Amino acid sequence: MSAIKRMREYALYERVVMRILFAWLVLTATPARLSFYEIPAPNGIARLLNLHFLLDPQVYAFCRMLLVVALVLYVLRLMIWLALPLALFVNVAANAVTNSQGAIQHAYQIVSLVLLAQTAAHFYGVWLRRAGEARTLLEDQLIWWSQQTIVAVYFVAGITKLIVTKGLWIFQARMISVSMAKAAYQSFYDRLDRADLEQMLAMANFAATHGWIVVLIAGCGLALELGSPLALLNRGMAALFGCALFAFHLGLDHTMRLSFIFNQWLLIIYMINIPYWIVTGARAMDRNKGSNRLEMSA
Amino acid sequence: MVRHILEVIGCKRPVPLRLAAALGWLKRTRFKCLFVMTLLCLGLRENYPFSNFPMYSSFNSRTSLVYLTDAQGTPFSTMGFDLLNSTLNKIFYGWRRAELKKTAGSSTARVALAEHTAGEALLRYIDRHASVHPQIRNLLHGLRVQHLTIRLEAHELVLQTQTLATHE
Repeated sequence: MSAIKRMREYALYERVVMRILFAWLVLTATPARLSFYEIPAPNGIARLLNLHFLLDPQVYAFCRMLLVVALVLYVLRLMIWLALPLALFVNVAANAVTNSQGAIQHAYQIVSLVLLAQTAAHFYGVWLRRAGEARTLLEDQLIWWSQQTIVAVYFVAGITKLIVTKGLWIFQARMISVSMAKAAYQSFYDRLDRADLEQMLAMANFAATHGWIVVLIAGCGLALELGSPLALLNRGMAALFGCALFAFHLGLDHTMRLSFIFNQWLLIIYMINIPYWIVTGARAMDRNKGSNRLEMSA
Repeated sequence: MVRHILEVIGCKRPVPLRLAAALGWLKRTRFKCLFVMTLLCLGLRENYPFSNFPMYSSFNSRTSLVYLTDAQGTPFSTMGFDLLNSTLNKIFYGWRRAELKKTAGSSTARVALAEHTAGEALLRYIDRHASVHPQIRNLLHGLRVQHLTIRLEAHELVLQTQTLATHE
Protein backbone atom coordinates (compact mmCIF):
# COMPACT_ATOMS: atom_id res chain seq x y z
CA MET A 1 0.00 0.00 0.00
CA SER A 2 1.40 3.42 -0.88
CA ALA A 3 2.15 6.04 1.70
CA ILE A 4 -0.47 8.34 0.26
CA LYS A 5 -3.27 5.77 0.30
CA ARG A 6 -3.09 5.64 4.06
CA MET A 7 -3.77 9.36 4.35
CA ARG A 8 -6.95 10.57 5.93
CA GLU A 9 -9.27 12.11 3.40
CA TYR A 10 -10.47 15.67 3.69
CA ALA A 11 -13.85 16.75 2.35
CA LEU A 12 -14.01 19.37 -0.38
CA TYR A 13 -15.35 22.08 1.95
CA GLU A 14 -12.39 21.53 4.33
CA ARG A 15 -9.86 21.67 1.52
CA VAL A 16 -11.37 24.83 0.03
CA VAL A 17 -11.41 26.63 3.41
CA MET A 18 -7.81 25.53 4.06
CA ARG A 19 -6.68 26.69 0.62
CA ILE A 20 -8.31 30.13 0.93
CA LEU A 21 -7.06 30.77 4.46
CA PHE A 22 -3.54 29.55 3.73
CA ALA A 23 -3.30 31.66 0.57
CA TRP A 24 -4.39 34.69 2.57
CA LEU A 25 -1.85 33.83 5.28
CA VAL A 26 1.01 33.53 2.76
CA LEU A 27 0.08 36.92 1.31
CA THR A 28 -0.01 38.45 4.80
CA ALA A 29 3.29 36.79 5.73
CA THR A 30 5.05 38.32 2.72
CA PRO A 31 6.15 41.93 3.31
CA ALA A 32 4.09 44.50 1.42
CA ARG A 33 7.29 46.46 0.74
CA LEU A 34 11.00 46.03 1.39
CA SER A 35 12.19 49.41 2.66
CA PHE A 36 15.84 48.48 3.03
CA TYR A 37 18.78 50.01 1.23
CA GLU A 38 21.08 46.97 1.46
CA ILE A 39 21.46 43.35 2.60
CA PRO A 40 24.13 43.76 5.30
CA ALA A 41 23.98 40.29 6.89
CA PRO A 42 22.77 37.75 4.28
CA ASN A 43 20.76 34.95 5.87
CA GLY A 44 19.41 31.68 4.50
CA ILE A 45 18.57 31.80 0.81
CA ALA A 46 20.13 35.31 0.64
CA ARG A 47 23.50 33.58 1.16
CA LEU A 48 22.97 31.44 -1.90
CA LEU A 49 21.29 33.94 -4.22
CA ASN A 50 21.94 37.60 -4.85
CA LEU A 51 18.59 39.10 -3.84
CA HIS A 52 19.54 42.76 -4.25
CA PHE A 53 17.14 43.00 -7.22
CA LEU A 54 14.27 42.78 -4.71
CA LEU A 55 15.36 46.09 -3.15
CA ASP A 56 14.14 47.87 -6.29
CA PRO A 57 10.54 48.87 -5.37
CA GLN A 58 9.26 48.29 -8.91
CA VAL A 59 10.76 44.81 -9.12
CA TYR A 60 9.36 43.94 -5.72
CA ALA A 61 5.91 45.25 -6.64
CA PHE A 62 6.03 42.97 -9.72
CA CYS A 63 7.05 40.01 -7.52
CA ARG A 64 4.13 40.71 -5.18
CA MET A 65 1.82 40.73 -8.17
CA LEU A 66 3.23 37.36 -9.27
CA LEU A 67 2.62 36.09 -5.75
CA VAL A 68 -1.02 37.16 -5.88
CA VAL A 69 -1.47 35.40 -9.24
CA ALA A 70 0.22 32.27 -7.86
CA LEU A 71 -2.04 32.28 -4.81
CA VAL A 72 -5.18 32.68 -6.93
CA LEU A 73 -4.04 29.66 -8.99
CA TYR A 74 -3.38 27.79 -5.73
CA VAL A 75 -6.88 28.48 -4.42
CA LEU A 76 -8.39 27.35 -7.74
CA ARG A 77 -6.07 24.29 -7.86
CA LEU A 78 -4.83 25.32 -11.28
CA MET A 79 -1.21 24.87 -12.39
CA ILE A 80 -0.15 23.92 -8.87
CA TRP A 81 3.24 22.86 -10.27
CA LEU A 82 3.83 26.55 -11.06
CA ALA A 83 1.81 28.24 -8.32
CA LEU A 84 3.51 26.58 -5.35
CA PRO A 85 7.18 27.10 -6.38
CA LEU A 86 6.44 30.68 -7.43
CA ALA A 87 4.69 31.54 -4.15
CA LEU A 88 7.47 29.78 -2.25
CA PHE A 89 10.21 31.74 -4.00
CA VAL A 90 8.63 35.17 -3.50
CA ASN A 91 7.72 34.47 0.14
CA VAL A 92 11.09 32.97 1.10
CA ALA A 93 13.19 35.51 -0.82
CA ALA A 94 11.33 38.54 0.60
CA ASN A 95 11.50 37.25 4.16
CA ALA A 96 15.14 36.25 3.75
CA VAL A 97 15.91 39.88 2.81
CA THR A 98 14.00 41.06 5.91
CA ASN A 99 15.98 38.60 8.03
CA SER A 100 19.25 39.74 6.47
CA GLN A 101 19.32 43.13 8.22
CA GLY A 102 21.34 41.87 11.18
CA ALA A 103 18.31 40.78 13.22
CA ILE A 104 16.57 37.44 12.80
CA GLN A 105 12.82 37.43 13.43
CA HIS A 106 10.88 34.23 14.05
CA ALA A 107 7.40 35.20 12.93
CA TYR A 108 7.36 34.03 9.32
CA GLN A 109 9.43 30.84 9.22
CA ILE A 110 6.47 28.60 9.98
CA VAL A 111 4.50 29.92 7.00
CA SER A 112 7.47 29.54 4.66
CA LEU A 113 8.14 26.03 5.98
CA VAL A 114 4.54 24.95 5.43
CA LEU A 115 4.70 26.40 1.92
CA LEU A 116 7.96 24.50 1.36
CA ALA A 117 6.37 21.29 2.67
CA GLN A 118 3.36 21.71 0.38
CA THR A 119 5.63 22.25 -2.62
CA ALA A 120 7.68 19.18 -1.70
CA ALA A 121 4.51 17.14 -1.05
CA HIS A 122 3.11 18.07 -4.45
CA PHE A 123 6.20 17.04 -6.37
CA TYR A 124 6.70 13.93 -4.23
CA GLY A 125 3.12 12.92 -5.00
CA VAL A 126 3.64 13.54 -8.71
CA TRP A 127 6.86 11.52 -8.61
CA LEU A 128 5.13 8.62 -6.83
CA ARG A 129 2.45 8.56 -9.51
CA ARG A 130 5.05 8.56 -12.26
CA ALA A 131 6.90 5.76 -10.47
CA GLY A 132 3.81 3.62 -10.85
CA GLU A 133 1.85 4.37 -7.73
CA ALA A 134 -1.89 4.64 -8.10
CA ARG A 135 -3.49 8.06 -8.53
CA THR A 136 -4.27 9.34 -5.09
CA LEU A 137 -5.53 12.46 -3.44
CA LEU A 138 -2.57 14.79 -3.76
CA GLU A 139 -4.20 17.55 -1.77
CA ASP A 140 -4.56 15.28 1.26
CA GLN A 141 -0.80 14.77 1.06
CA LEU A 142 -0.30 18.55 1.09
CA ILE A 143 -2.46 18.90 4.20
CA TRP A 144 -0.79 15.97 5.93
CA TRP A 145 2.71 17.38 5.30
CA SER A 146 1.56 20.83 6.43
CA GLN A 147 0.41 19.34 9.74
CA GLN A 148 3.72 17.53 10.15
CA THR A 149 5.62 20.75 9.48
CA ILE A 150 3.62 22.69 12.07
CA VAL A 151 4.31 19.95 14.60
CA ALA A 152 8.01 19.90 13.62
CA VAL A 153 8.31 23.63 14.44
CA TYR A 154 7.05 23.08 18.01
CA PHE A 155 9.03 19.88 18.43
CA VAL A 156 12.25 21.60 17.29
CA ALA A 157 11.63 24.50 19.70
CA GLY A 158 11.31 21.98 22.55
CA ILE A 159 14.42 20.03 21.56
CA THR A 160 16.46 23.24 21.19
CA LYS A 161 15.56 24.22 24.77
CA LEU A 162 16.92 20.89 25.99
CA ILE A 163 20.05 21.06 23.83
CA VAL A 164 20.95 24.65 24.80
CA THR A 165 20.45 24.08 28.54
CA LYS A 166 21.71 20.47 28.53
CA GLY A 167 18.29 19.36 29.75
CA LEU A 168 18.10 21.93 32.55
CA TRP A 169 15.65 24.35 30.91
CA ILE A 170 12.92 23.63 33.42
CA PHE A 171 15.22 24.60 36.32
CA GLN A 172 16.33 27.79 34.57
CA ALA A 173 12.68 28.73 33.99
CA ARG A 174 12.62 30.20 37.51
CA MET A 175 14.50 33.16 36.07
CA ILE A 176 11.88 33.83 33.41
CA SER A 177 10.87 36.97 35.34
CA VAL A 178 14.02 38.69 33.99
CA SER A 179 12.95 37.88 30.41
CA MET A 180 9.41 39.00 31.20
CA ALA A 181 10.70 42.35 32.45
CA LYS A 182 12.83 42.69 29.32
CA ALA A 183 9.81 41.90 27.13
CA ALA A 184 7.82 44.49 29.10
CA TYR A 185 10.40 47.21 28.46
CA GLN A 186 10.84 46.23 24.81
CA SER A 187 7.09 46.45 24.30
CA PHE A 188 7.05 49.79 26.16
CA TYR A 189 9.80 51.30 24.00
CA ASP A 190 7.91 50.21 20.88
CA ARG A 191 4.74 52.18 21.72
CA LEU A 192 5.44 54.08 24.99
CA ASP A 193 2.26 52.65 26.57
CA ARG A 194 2.95 53.14 30.30
CA ALA A 195 -0.22 51.40 31.54
CA ASP A 196 0.75 48.28 29.58
CA LEU A 197 4.29 48.46 31.01
CA GLU A 198 3.00 48.56 34.57
CA GLN A 199 0.69 45.61 33.99
CA MET A 200 3.49 43.54 32.44
CA LEU A 201 5.99 44.50 35.16
CA ALA A 202 3.46 43.43 37.81
CA MET A 203 3.37 39.98 36.18
CA ALA A 204 7.20 39.88 35.97
CA ASN A 205 7.45 40.75 39.67
CA PHE A 206 4.88 38.06 40.50
CA ALA A 207 6.99 35.54 38.55
CA ALA A 208 10.11 36.69 40.43
CA THR A 209 8.52 35.99 43.80
CA HIS A 210 6.61 32.80 42.81
CA GLY A 211 9.29 30.74 41.05
CA TRP A 212 7.56 27.36 41.56
CA ILE A 213 4.38 28.49 39.75
CA VAL A 214 6.53 29.64 36.83
CA VAL A 215 8.34 26.28 36.75
CA LEU A 216 4.98 24.49 36.65
CA ILE A 217 3.62 26.60 33.78
CA ALA A 218 6.90 26.46 31.83
CA GLY A 219 6.98 22.69 32.35
CA CYS A 220 3.52 22.38 30.79
CA GLY A 221 4.65 24.49 27.83
CA LEU A 222 7.75 22.33 27.28
CA ALA A 223 5.69 19.12 27.57
CA LEU A 224 3.28 20.50 24.98
CA GLU A 225 6.13 21.23 22.57
CA LEU A 226 7.83 17.87 23.03
CA GLY A 227 4.50 16.00 22.93
CA SER A 228 3.26 17.83 19.83
CA PRO A 229 3.91 14.83 17.48
CA LEU A 230 0.96 13.15 19.24
CA ALA A 231 -1.23 15.68 17.41
CA LEU A 232 -0.61 13.64 14.25
CA LEU A 233 -2.43 10.56 15.59
CA ASN A 234 -5.93 11.56 14.51
CA ARG A 235 -8.28 14.52 14.00
CA GLY A 236 -9.28 14.62 17.65
CA MET A 237 -5.68 14.79 18.87
CA ALA A 238 -4.89 17.40 16.21
CA ALA A 239 -7.75 19.57 17.48
CA LEU A 240 -6.78 18.97 21.12
CA PHE A 241 -3.12 19.90 20.63
CA GLY A 242 -4.12 22.69 18.27
CA CYS A 243 -6.32 24.25 20.96
CA ALA A 244 -3.69 23.70 23.68
CA LEU A 245 -0.94 25.32 21.59
CA PHE A 246 -3.29 28.14 20.64
CA ALA A 247 -3.99 28.77 24.34
CA PHE A 248 -0.22 28.61 25.00
CA HIS A 249 0.29 31.41 22.45
CA LEU A 250 -2.49 33.50 23.99
CA GLY A 251 -0.78 33.14 27.38
CA LEU A 252 2.59 34.18 25.92
CA ASP A 253 0.98 37.14 24.19
CA HIS A 254 -0.70 38.24 27.40
CA THR A 255 2.32 37.90 29.68
CA MET A 256 5.25 38.73 27.39
CA ARG A 257 3.65 40.40 24.34
CA LEU A 258 5.13 37.60 22.24
CA SER A 259 2.68 37.46 19.41
CA PHE A 260 2.97 34.47 17.06
CA ILE A 261 -0.06 35.28 14.99
CA PHE A 262 0.98 33.12 12.01
CA ASN A 263 1.51 30.09 14.25
CA GLN A 264 -1.95 30.66 15.69
CA TRP A 265 -3.56 30.91 12.27
CA LEU A 266 -1.81 27.77 11.04
CA LEU A 267 -3.06 25.91 14.12
CA ILE A 268 -6.59 27.09 13.36
CA ILE A 269 -6.37 26.15 9.68
CA TYR A 270 -4.64 22.77 9.74
CA MET A 271 -4.89 21.42 13.30
CA ILE A 272 -8.11 22.69 14.86
CA ASN A 273 -9.96 22.66 11.50
CA ILE A 274 -13.14 24.38 12.74
CA PRO A 275 -15.31 23.68 9.62
CA TYR A 276 -14.91 19.91 10.11
CA TRP A 277 -16.08 20.06 13.74
CA ILE A 278 -19.03 22.32 12.87
CA VAL A 279 -20.18 19.95 10.10
CA THR A 280 -19.54 16.85 12.24
CA GLY A 281 -21.42 18.41 15.16
CA ALA A 282 -24.34 19.43 12.95
CA ARG A 283 -24.55 15.92 11.44
CA ALA A 284 -24.47 14.33 14.89
CA MET A 285 -27.29 16.61 16.01
CA ASP A 286 -29.29 15.70 12.90
CA ARG A 287 -28.78 12.00 13.59
CA ASN A 288 -29.89 12.46 17.22
CA LYS A 289 -33.00 14.33 16.12
CA GLY A 290 -33.74 11.60 13.56
CA SER A 291 -33.36 8.79 16.09
CA ASN A 292 -35.51 10.72 18.60
CA ARG A 293 -38.27 11.09 15.99
CA LEU A 294 -38.11 7.35 15.28
CA GLU A 295 -38.36 6.57 19.00
CA MET A 296 -41.32 8.95 19.36
CA SER A 297 -43.17 7.42 16.39
CA ALA A 298 -42.45 3.89 17.68
CA MET B 1 25.96 10.54 -1.59
CA VAL B 2 23.32 12.29 -3.67
CA ARG B 3 23.61 9.61 -6.37
CA HIS B 4 23.19 6.90 -3.75
CA ILE B 5 20.07 8.59 -2.36
CA LEU B 6 18.57 8.86 -5.84
CA GLU B 7 19.39 5.22 -6.56
CA VAL B 8 17.87 4.02 -3.30
CA ILE B 9 14.70 6.03 -3.84
CA GLY B 10 14.48 4.68 -7.35
CA CYS B 11 15.47 1.16 -6.11
CA LYS B 12 17.82 0.85 -9.08
CA ARG B 13 21.07 -0.16 -7.45
CA PRO B 14 22.24 -1.75 -4.18
CA VAL B 15 23.70 0.80 -1.75
CA PRO B 16 25.45 0.66 1.64
CA LEU B 17 23.23 -1.24 4.07
CA ARG B 18 22.76 1.47 6.75
CA LEU B 19 21.98 4.21 4.26
CA ALA B 20 19.62 1.91 2.38
CA ALA B 21 17.88 0.94 5.62
CA ALA B 22 17.54 4.58 6.70
CA LEU B 23 16.21 5.73 3.35
CA GLY B 24 13.97 2.69 3.05
CA TRP B 25 12.50 3.49 6.45
CA LEU B 26 12.09 7.13 5.45
CA LYS B 27 10.27 6.07 2.29
CA ARG B 28 7.90 3.82 4.22
CA THR B 29 7.12 6.01 7.23
CA ARG B 30 4.06 8.23 7.19
CA PHE B 31 5.98 10.81 9.24
CA LYS B 32 8.77 11.49 6.75
CA CYS B 33 8.01 15.21 6.59
CA LEU B 34 8.12 15.57 10.39
CA PHE B 35 11.41 13.71 10.50
CA VAL B 36 13.05 15.61 7.64
CA MET B 37 11.82 19.04 8.79
CA THR B 38 13.04 18.38 12.34
CA LEU B 39 16.48 17.37 11.09
CA LEU B 40 16.71 20.30 8.68
CA CYS B 41 15.64 22.85 11.31
CA LEU B 42 18.04 21.49 13.93
CA GLY B 43 20.88 21.05 11.42
CA LEU B 44 20.62 24.27 9.42
CA ARG B 45 19.72 26.41 12.47
CA GLU B 46 19.14 30.09 11.62
CA ASN B 47 19.01 29.96 7.83
CA TYR B 48 15.73 31.28 6.49
CA PRO B 49 13.28 29.59 6.05
CA PHE B 50 14.80 27.13 8.54
CA SER B 51 15.34 27.86 12.20
CA ASN B 52 16.04 25.92 15.38
CA PHE B 53 13.73 28.42 17.15
CA PRO B 54 16.14 29.38 19.94
CA MET B 55 13.88 32.07 21.45
CA TYR B 56 13.75 31.69 25.23
CA SER B 57 15.76 28.48 25.05
CA SER B 58 17.77 29.57 28.09
CA PHE B 59 17.38 32.06 30.94
CA ASN B 60 19.79 34.14 32.98
CA SER B 61 19.50 36.08 36.20
CA ARG B 62 20.68 39.13 34.25
CA THR B 63 19.72 40.61 30.89
CA SER B 64 19.88 43.96 29.13
CA LEU B 65 18.39 45.93 26.26
CA VAL B 66 18.96 49.16 24.42
CA TYR B 67 16.46 51.90 23.62
CA LEU B 68 16.50 55.37 22.11
CA THR B 69 15.97 58.71 23.81
CA ASP B 70 16.34 62.37 22.90
CA ALA B 71 19.13 64.55 24.37
CA GLN B 72 17.09 65.06 27.57
CA GLY B 73 16.63 61.31 28.10
CA THR B 74 12.96 61.17 27.08
CA PRO B 75 12.32 57.81 25.38
CA PHE B 76 11.42 57.66 21.70
CA SER B 77 8.94 55.12 20.40
CA THR B 78 11.08 52.70 18.36
CA MET B 79 8.17 52.23 15.98
CA GLY B 80 8.50 55.93 15.19
CA PHE B 81 11.77 54.87 13.51
CA ASP B 82 9.91 52.15 11.57
CA LEU B 83 11.72 49.55 13.70
CA LEU B 84 10.79 47.24 16.55
CA ASN B 85 12.76 47.46 19.76
CA SER B 86 13.54 43.73 19.45
CA THR B 87 15.05 44.36 15.99
CA LEU B 88 17.08 47.26 17.34
CA ASN B 89 18.42 45.00 20.08
CA LYS B 90 19.23 42.11 17.77
CA ILE B 91 21.25 44.49 15.58
CA PHE B 92 23.00 46.01 18.61
CA TYR B 93 23.87 42.62 20.14
CA GLY B 94 25.09 41.33 16.77
CA TRP B 95 27.64 44.16 16.68
CA ARG B 96 28.45 43.76 20.36
CA ARG B 97 29.30 40.08 19.80
CA ALA B 98 31.45 40.97 16.78
CA GLU B 99 33.30 43.67 18.78
CA LEU B 100 33.87 41.34 21.73
CA LYS B 101 35.61 38.89 19.39
CA LYS B 102 37.89 41.65 18.09
CA THR B 103 38.95 43.29 21.35
CA ALA B 104 41.35 42.00 23.98
CA GLY B 105 41.87 42.92 27.65
CA SER B 106 40.03 42.47 30.92
CA SER B 107 36.43 41.31 30.75
CA THR B 108 34.81 44.49 32.15
CA ALA B 109 36.85 46.83 29.93
CA ARG B 110 36.22 44.67 26.83
CA VAL B 111 32.48 44.60 27.41
CA ALA B 112 32.34 48.37 28.04
CA LEU B 113 34.32 49.08 24.87
CA ALA B 114 32.28 46.63 22.79
CA GLU B 115 29.00 48.14 24.00
CA HIS B 116 30.18 51.66 23.31
CA THR B 117 31.33 50.72 19.78
CA ALA B 118 28.09 48.78 19.10
CA GLY B 119 26.09 51.81 20.32
CA GLU B 120 27.93 54.07 17.87
CA ALA B 121 27.40 51.53 15.09
CA LEU B 122 23.69 51.47 15.91
CA LEU B 123 23.52 55.25 15.51
CA ARG B 124 25.22 54.95 12.12
CA TYR B 125 22.70 52.25 11.16
CA ILE B 126 19.83 54.58 12.10
CA ASP B 127 21.51 57.33 10.07
CA ARG B 128 21.46 55.07 6.98
CA HIS B 129 17.95 53.90 7.86
CA ALA B 130 16.88 57.57 7.69
CA SER B 131 17.92 57.64 4.02
CA VAL B 132 14.87 55.46 3.17
CA HIS B 133 12.68 56.87 5.96
CA PRO B 134 12.86 60.68 5.63
CA GLN B 135 10.34 61.19 8.45
CA ILE B 136 12.94 60.22 11.08
CA ARG B 137 15.68 62.63 9.97
CA ASN B 138 14.53 65.40 12.32
CA LEU B 139 14.78 63.01 15.31
CA LEU B 140 18.47 62.29 14.81
CA HIS B 141 20.07 65.33 16.47
CA GLY B 142 20.99 64.49 20.09
CA LEU B 143 19.62 60.94 19.71
CA ARG B 144 20.97 58.67 22.46
CA VAL B 145 21.41 54.91 22.72
CA GLN B 146 20.58 53.93 26.31
CA HIS B 147 21.45 50.59 27.88
CA LEU B 148 19.11 49.13 30.49
CA THR B 149 20.34 46.23 32.64
CA ILE B 150 17.79 44.04 34.49
CA ARG B 151 19.00 41.73 37.28
CA LEU B 152 17.18 39.28 39.55
CA GLU B 153 18.54 39.70 43.08
CA ALA B 154 16.90 37.85 45.97
CA HIS B 155 13.51 37.57 44.21
CA GLU B 156 13.57 41.24 43.18
CA LEU B 157 14.14 42.86 39.81
CA VAL B 158 16.86 45.54 39.87
CA LEU B 159 17.25 48.03 36.99
CA GLN B 160 20.25 50.12 35.94
CA THR B 161 20.56 52.53 32.95
CA GLN B 162 23.57 54.09 31.21
CA THR B 163 24.11 56.09 27.99
CA LEU B 164 26.21 54.27 25.40
CA ALA B 165 26.34 56.75 22.52
CA THR B 166 24.98 60.16 21.51
CA HIS B 167 24.29 61.41 17.98
CA GLU B 168 26.18 64.61 17.13
